[in-house]
Amino acid sequence: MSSYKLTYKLFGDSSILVEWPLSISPEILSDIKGFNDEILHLQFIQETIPAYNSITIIYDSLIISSFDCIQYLQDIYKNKKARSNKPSTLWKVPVCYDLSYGKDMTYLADTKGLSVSEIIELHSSAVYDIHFIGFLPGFPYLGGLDERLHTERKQNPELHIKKGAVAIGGKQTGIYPADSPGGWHVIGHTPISLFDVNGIQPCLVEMGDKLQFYSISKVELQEHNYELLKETYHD
Amino acid sequence: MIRVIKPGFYTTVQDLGRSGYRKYGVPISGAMDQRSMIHGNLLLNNHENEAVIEATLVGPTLEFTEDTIVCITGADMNARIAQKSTAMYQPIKIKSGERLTFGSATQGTRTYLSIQCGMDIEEVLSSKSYYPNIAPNSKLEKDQEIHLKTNANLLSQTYSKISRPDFSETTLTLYKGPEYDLLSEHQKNRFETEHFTVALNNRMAYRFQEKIENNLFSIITSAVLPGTIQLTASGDIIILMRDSQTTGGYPRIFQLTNEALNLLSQKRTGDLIYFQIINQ
Repeated sequence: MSSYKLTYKLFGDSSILVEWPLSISPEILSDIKGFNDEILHLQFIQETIPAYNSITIIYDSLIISSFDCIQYLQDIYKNKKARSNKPSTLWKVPVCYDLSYGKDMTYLADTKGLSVSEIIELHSSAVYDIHFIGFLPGFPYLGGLDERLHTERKQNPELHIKKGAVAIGGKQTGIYPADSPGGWHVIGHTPISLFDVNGIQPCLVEMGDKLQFYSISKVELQEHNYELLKETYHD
Repeated sequence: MIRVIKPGFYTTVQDLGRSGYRKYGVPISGAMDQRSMIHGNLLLNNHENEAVIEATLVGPTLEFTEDTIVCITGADMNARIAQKSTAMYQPIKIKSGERLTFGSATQGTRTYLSIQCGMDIEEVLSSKSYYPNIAPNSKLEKDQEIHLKTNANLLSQTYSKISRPDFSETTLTLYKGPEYDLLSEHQKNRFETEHFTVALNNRMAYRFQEKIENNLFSIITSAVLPGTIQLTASGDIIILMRDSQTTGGYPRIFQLTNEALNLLSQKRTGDLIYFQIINQ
C-alpha cells in the first residue's frame, strides 16, 4: 500500500487544503478516496471537497484549532489501514453520437484523422475513473480519455451548450449537467441525468466510481429505448 | 402572503446556504452579506438561518396580504411602507394590504428583508437559498406569491440595538492563499499597497479593473471557496463569492476573511478597495 508525502496548507480560517503529489492518476484517486472516507465521520469536520490531487477540509473552528486539526489528520493518514480491493460501481451511460447531436464530431474527425465510427469506438470503449464532482452540480471529472481524442478547447467558448451534451475538452471528456456556456467539443447527447435534486442522493455517481459510455441510435433516443446501467466492476 | 409587484434589479431568497453538497459540485450559496442578514433575523427573534429576501442595487415592491412584522437591514434603499419612510434595524409593523417599496441603494449595495417567523419557502438540499437549477427559482419574479409562516404571537418590541456597519470602509482583510508563494515580491507588494476598483460583479464573483501581470501557470483543478482570490493568466483578479463554483484551475493567491466577504458584498462597480494581509 503506497503512502504519499502529503502537504497541509491553511486555506482561510476554517479550511485545510491537503495535497497529494502534482499528478492525476488512479492510484492517487484511490488513496484520496480512502482518506476521505476515513475522515468524513469526524465530529469537527463539516464538509470535504475532494479534487484530482487534493482534499479541502472545512472544519469547525469553534471546536478545534487549525494546528490540532492538522495533527489529527496526519495521525489518521499515518495509521490508515490498507484498503481492501473492493469492487467499484460501473455506470453505463447511453449516448446518441448522431451528427445532429454531435455538432463538433465532423470537426474532430477531420482534425484527428479518424472516422466518426473510430471516434465513437475510442470514446465508448474506455472505462473512465470518476475523480471527483465539481464545476457545476453533478459534473464528474473523468480520467482515462484515449490520447488520440485529446483536443484543445475552443478559442471562443459557445454561449449555449445543452444539458446532456457529451463533449471533449483538452485531455478530458464529460457530460454537461445543465445548459451552460462551454468551450468543449460536443460529440453526442445523453438523455440520462446524473444529478437530481429530488433524489435520495442528489448525485448518482461518486468519486471512485467508474463510467463507460455506450452508443444508442437516434431512434432509440427518441423512443426512450435506453437506460442507465449500474454494474459491479472488478479491476 | 407577499405578492411581488416589482421584482427589483436582482432579488433572491437566501439563508446561510447549502452546506454539505460541495462534493457533488453544488455551490454553497447563502446571503452575500451574512452579517446584515443575521442582524435582521436577530432583531426579530428569528433563528439566524431563517430565510430572508436579498435585494441588489434596486429593491422590489411587495404587497402584504396579512399583518406581519419585518426588519430591514444592510444597504439603505429608502424603504417606504404605504408611501411613508420607514426605519431600518428595528421591527416594523406592516398591515394587510400595505405595500413595501424600495428604491436605489445608497449606503451599500445589498438590502435584507427579514420577516418575523419567516417565509414558507421550499427547502432543497437543506437550504432555501435560490440558485439556478437547484432551487425552483433563481430570482424573484413579478406576480410571484410567497406564503408566510403562521405568526400568532408577533413580537413588535425588541430590546436589542444594532446599528448599520460602516459599508464605506475600504480595507478588506485576507489570508495568504494556497498559491500565494507563486507571486513575485513585486506582485505581492502591488497587492498590499495599491487600490483596486470594483468592475463586473454578481453573486458568483467580483472582478477588478486593475490587472496584475504574471506568468503563473494554472493549477490542477482543486477546490475554491467563497472569498478565494484567483489570479488569471491574463492578469485579471477574481474574488469568488457565495454562488461560486466549487472547483477551479486558477492559482488561489488569497482568501478573504468572512468579514471582508460581507463588506465586499456591499461594494459595487467603481468602488475602491485595499487589501490587508493577516498572518496566520
